[in-house]
Amino acid sequence: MEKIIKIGAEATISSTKWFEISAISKIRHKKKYRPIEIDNLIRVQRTIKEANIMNKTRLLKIDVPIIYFVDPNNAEIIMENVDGPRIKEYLSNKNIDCKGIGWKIGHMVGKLHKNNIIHGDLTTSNMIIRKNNNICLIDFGLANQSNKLEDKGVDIKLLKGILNSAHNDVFKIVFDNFLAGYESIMKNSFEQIISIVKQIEMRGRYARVD
Amino acid sequence: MNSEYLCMGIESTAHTFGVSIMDSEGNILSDVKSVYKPPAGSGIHPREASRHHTVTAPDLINEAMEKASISYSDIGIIAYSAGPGIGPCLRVGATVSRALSLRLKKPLIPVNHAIGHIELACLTSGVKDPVNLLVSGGHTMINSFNTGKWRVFGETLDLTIGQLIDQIGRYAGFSSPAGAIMEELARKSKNYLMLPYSVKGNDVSFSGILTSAKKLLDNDNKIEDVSYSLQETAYSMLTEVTERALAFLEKEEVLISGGVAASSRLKEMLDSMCKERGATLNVVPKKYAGDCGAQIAWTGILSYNTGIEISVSDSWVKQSWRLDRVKIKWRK
Repeated sequence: MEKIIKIGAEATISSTKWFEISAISKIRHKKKYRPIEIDNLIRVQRTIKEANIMNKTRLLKIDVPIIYFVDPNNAEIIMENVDGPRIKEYLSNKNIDCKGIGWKIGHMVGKLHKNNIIHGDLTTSNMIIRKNNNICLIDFGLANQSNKLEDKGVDIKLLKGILNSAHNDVFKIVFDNFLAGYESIMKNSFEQIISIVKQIEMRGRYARVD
Repeated sequence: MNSEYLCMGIESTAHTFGVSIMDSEGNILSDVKSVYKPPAGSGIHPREASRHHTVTAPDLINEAMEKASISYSDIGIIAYSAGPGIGPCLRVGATVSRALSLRLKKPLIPVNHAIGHIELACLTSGVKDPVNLLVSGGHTMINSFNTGKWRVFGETLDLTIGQLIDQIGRYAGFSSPAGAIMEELARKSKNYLMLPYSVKGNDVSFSGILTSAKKLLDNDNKIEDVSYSLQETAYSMLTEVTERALAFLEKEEVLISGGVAASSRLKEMLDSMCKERGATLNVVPKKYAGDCGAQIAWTGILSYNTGIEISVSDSWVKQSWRLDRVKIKWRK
């Protein structure tokens, strides 16, 4: 019945059923490489935090998978099975709407940050495009709540780095439009956060930021 | 380039002055070095390190020549570490290389030290398209080759892993680099003391561990326990972000390069992670993990083969020269 769909970095995703509905199960398995003290803490804490912050995000009318069941002891979450290509795959196609997708991501991240939610892992593999063209944000394992500009800056720096490294050919157009979408929500604090992103990048080893 | 030629590579970015002779097929004919050791409890003093390099350079060059059993007329090109690194140290290597280039009338090639670590690790381990974890005193980065450059997929947001280990080592009264002794001490403990675990996406932050580990030492915890806890926490973080990058990039080879690649505990953790994922782990041989002339010589050869050289009058060193600024023409 259960079939492994993906072995992610920290969890295994399998297809399953929640009563009659098709669903996925995300289990954070034990990692042999790290001591049990660290392992227990990470698996249980991240599972609870993930479910908690996903629910909070949902209340902001941001598209996230619906959670059906959480089992902290087993580090498992059963949630909606979201179907569609990830932004990562979408960006490697030809003739795509880079402007629109960049703006939508920016708008979404702006809404998160305005409400002091930090996703913590904004990569292009953690966003799924639904059939209705909504972007569904997944994987809140590293998410937390914070009103610090530094934390919001780190979130953006990560996405910028991934766009630049993995999608270099469309980096500029996607990121410029991301900023436009982000600014439309963040308004007055936009400039301040962007200057913090630059500061964070400058802390990188041997960095020179244009 | 049609026939085989020899390259002399000169490394001088930080504490190590290294000289290596390699042929253009990738054989290392000689690789010799001398490492500046600061007094116990203190770090690299730029003036003292550069003085060390100035004093040891002539003998090391002669030794590299003798070990390779060649004469100066056999040398085809001279490669030097142009950055990133400590200014006064970089200038010693560059000055020596310029002099050799002028005297022997041979092309001069500037090499990025970090690219040197990765390319030598690729050559010696035979890996083709890895997710690379570059861990040393100067770097803590996850790289993968994509569209013409070694791109950065994750890195430290503050200290490098080498700095973290050395700073705690120095605080405990050891001399830098302190990796070997800290690992030795860590082996004697199984008592895990809680330290902050900070992973941000594919990035890590070590500054919290530094502060907390110092406090643990101040509160009379045993150095063995602190070393063990520091190592377990920091290496778990590095293993986690490497796995994250591996999953994102959907690749199957991991490479560890840089001085901290000599750590057997880090290798053990990454190996366990790779086995569970069905990926392969490749590690640069211990001998070529730390800074050495061969990393410069080999990257010099790759650069020269793709048309890179610089005239002595235009040659430079750059203290800040990030590896994702370098165009890599020899990889597709």
